[in-house]
Amino acid sequence: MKPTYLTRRKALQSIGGGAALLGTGVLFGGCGGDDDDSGGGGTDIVDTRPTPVPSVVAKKGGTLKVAMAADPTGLDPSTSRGGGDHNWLYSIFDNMVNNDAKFQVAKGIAEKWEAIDDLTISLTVPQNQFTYHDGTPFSIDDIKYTIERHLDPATKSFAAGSLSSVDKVEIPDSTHAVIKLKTITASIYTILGDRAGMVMSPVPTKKGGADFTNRPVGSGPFKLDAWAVDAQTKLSKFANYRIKDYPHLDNIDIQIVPNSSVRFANLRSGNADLIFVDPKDASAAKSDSAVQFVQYPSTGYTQVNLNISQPPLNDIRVRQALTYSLNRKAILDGIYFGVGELANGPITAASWAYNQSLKPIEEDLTKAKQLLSAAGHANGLTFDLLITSGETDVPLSAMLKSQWARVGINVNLVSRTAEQATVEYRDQKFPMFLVGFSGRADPDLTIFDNFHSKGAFNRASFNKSYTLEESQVSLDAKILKARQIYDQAQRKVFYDDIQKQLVENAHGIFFTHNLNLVGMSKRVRGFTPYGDGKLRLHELWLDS
Amino acid sequence: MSGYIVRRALNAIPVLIFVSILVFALTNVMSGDPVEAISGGSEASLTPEAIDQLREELGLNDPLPVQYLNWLRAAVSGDLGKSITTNRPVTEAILDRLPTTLQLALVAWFIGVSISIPLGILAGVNRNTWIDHLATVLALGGVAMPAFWMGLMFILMFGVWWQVLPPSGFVSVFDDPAQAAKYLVLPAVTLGLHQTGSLTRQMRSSMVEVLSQDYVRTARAKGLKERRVIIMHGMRNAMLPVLTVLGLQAGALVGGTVVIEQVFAIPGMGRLALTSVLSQDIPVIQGVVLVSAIAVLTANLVTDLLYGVLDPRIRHGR
Repeated sequence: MKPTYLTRRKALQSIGGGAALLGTGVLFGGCGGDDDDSGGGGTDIVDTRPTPVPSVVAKKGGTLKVAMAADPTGLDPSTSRGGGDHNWLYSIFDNMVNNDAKFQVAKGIAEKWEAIDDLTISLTVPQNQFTYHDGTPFSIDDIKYTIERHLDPATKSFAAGSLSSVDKVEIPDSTHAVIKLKTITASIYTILGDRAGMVMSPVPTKKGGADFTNRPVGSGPFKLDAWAVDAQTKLSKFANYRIKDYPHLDNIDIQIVPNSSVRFANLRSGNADLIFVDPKDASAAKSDSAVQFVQYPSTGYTQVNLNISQPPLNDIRVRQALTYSLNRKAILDGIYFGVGELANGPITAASWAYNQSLKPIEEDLTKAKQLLSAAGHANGLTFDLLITSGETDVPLSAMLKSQWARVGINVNLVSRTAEQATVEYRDQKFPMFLVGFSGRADPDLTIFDNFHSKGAFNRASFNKSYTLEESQVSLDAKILKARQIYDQAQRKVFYDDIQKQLVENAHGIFFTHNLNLVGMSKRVRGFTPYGDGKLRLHELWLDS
Repeated sequence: MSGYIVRRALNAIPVLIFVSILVFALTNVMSGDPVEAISGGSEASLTPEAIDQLREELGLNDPLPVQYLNWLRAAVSGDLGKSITTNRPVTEAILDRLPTTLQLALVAWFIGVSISIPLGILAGVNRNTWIDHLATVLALGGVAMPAFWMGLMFILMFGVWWQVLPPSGFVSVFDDPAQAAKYLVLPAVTLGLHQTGSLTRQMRSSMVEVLSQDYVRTARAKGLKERRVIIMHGMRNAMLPVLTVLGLQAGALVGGTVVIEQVFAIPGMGRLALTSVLSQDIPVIQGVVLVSAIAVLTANLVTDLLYGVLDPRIRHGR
């Protein structure tokens, strides 16, 4: 690669990126699971996804070099738990069905999927003469095995919850699997396109035992050759892959580079072909002629998560005062370098359920003060905000504190490690927690878990003395209804209403919608931007 | 001498036990339940039954003293348990990482010594001249500049602008010495430069003190060449206090690698320590601290033995 030479502007730009790390540069190694990621995501360009050029024939061979922030938490689809794991898993395992870039169901090993009735779906796998990486032949029974393995408490699968509505799996013949549901589950295909639907065989999983997570055997386009923890994983093309002449690459080498500035340095110097770009490096990536920079809507959003069972947040007026007293544009520009969109709720433009007509809440300090006064806090009130010591969260929490102080809301910032914060928040020790959410391919998986009174990520659901407020009762009913409708247009009507209610009744304080930011070297081709932000590395090829 | 080494090694055992109890108590008191933390901090979640089962399997339902004794019993036989997050044996993880950190620390230490000893001598010999002032500025600069920032600047200059060295990563010297050198230069220089400050200042003041001693005046009066006076009479005597700092710095290097390994994406003990602390992986934290404590104790022991080499009075027990 032709070396780039220093200009004063470049030097200042780069040093700015480095200086942004002052004081925090070594403390973000543990940000693995992406539930808690609150990364930002541009206001000017919303979607720069490249238009696919089908006429170009993919070139064969080559090694793709990727730099990631952290190792996967494991490579067993059941026992791994991080959102970043999919960047590996999608290349190693085949899914029963897939989610396409617009979150519509697409072919996996099943070429056909149909709802026989509301509680029965059938998957058809006509081409079933393929093997796993270790040579074990695929059997249609593996679909049954995979789902039952997740549901078996002994597996301790992190995907068991998403499959809780599955009653049983029946195998009527060698090309069909029938999944019986206990309740109507509109998101079932999305779930099967995620880790729960990654096909495994009992032979290698039982042989691998507890070590299967370190030496996974799937039937995907790439197999794992080596994994040096915290350093590098090497994947190579699976020669007997079920789709002929696929994949295009020979190898994928993924290095672990925890520091975002150093990852960007690796991309600029040609030592990496693909990275996730940090918002602070976005403008430098856009202007670097040696880099392909792509930004596109993500399902993730930034927020303060509220436990509405806890005083003073059990008073809707206090929550509304919190949301009306914020200047979201200042947050987007000051904290996220202007990379992202102002949030109008938890569903982003990456989803078909995005409510385009809903406007983000605008700052209204007078209204906020009136609300506080009506709630009996005319002289102000003080409570805790739980934060983690992340690169973004520390300055963001300071900005929130100063913005809220303008209307008399004084928050004490209490810092914990990400893991500890999650546990203490669940244990009702704090009323609110500054933590983003990565979002899910299906709106139900975001909405139910976060905002239904029984949702797994709704910390109010862990409060035994929680008495549902009126608005929560009506919200619960709408959420349950929306998840039981298979027709997407009909579902969207419900989600539009749910989002409006979530914002107006302040079930969360939403700031920004993230963008996925990906930087690639000029030789990378075949990139499809999936809104879930998870890379399908096996789809890529190299032009040289 | 061998009796002395054995005695010192035996003295280290209670220190190690104390360190392990302290770490065990602190991690348990401060971190809470690691299984809850893993489950709660994940994208997906475990069912309550699975959480209970996992806790039972990991022995986390036992009282803390029982957990500690079980750990100690296994540790004595070389089994440091399994990582809660990766399910890999801790001993294997440490043995994978230790050579990496040792390579980095040794080269950094060598660079630090190679710069600071001559610089300290030059400053001491040329006291209150521009050479002395320059050495002071360089030494203080090394201490004052945060290691991670210095590392990022090196990456920017040598990795991105001039593209003469890889920005990050690691290759073992046992796999490919030439590549290893390329990857080690930036992190080792960063870590080494960070060590030079205190060492240069110590060497300088030690040199100034020794050069004002009577035996140095006598050596000069005998007509010895200045070079010989400085090296044989000055430097050798000035090295004793410097050696103490060198020994202490070996311990500091273990800590310094945490930052450097994180910046330069080096899979060493420092990264292992950081990731295990952040994920509350108690067996790994225990293992890393134990091995680090052994490393520091060994460095101190070697320092003590070197006193004997440099000063025969110590060797002969006078």
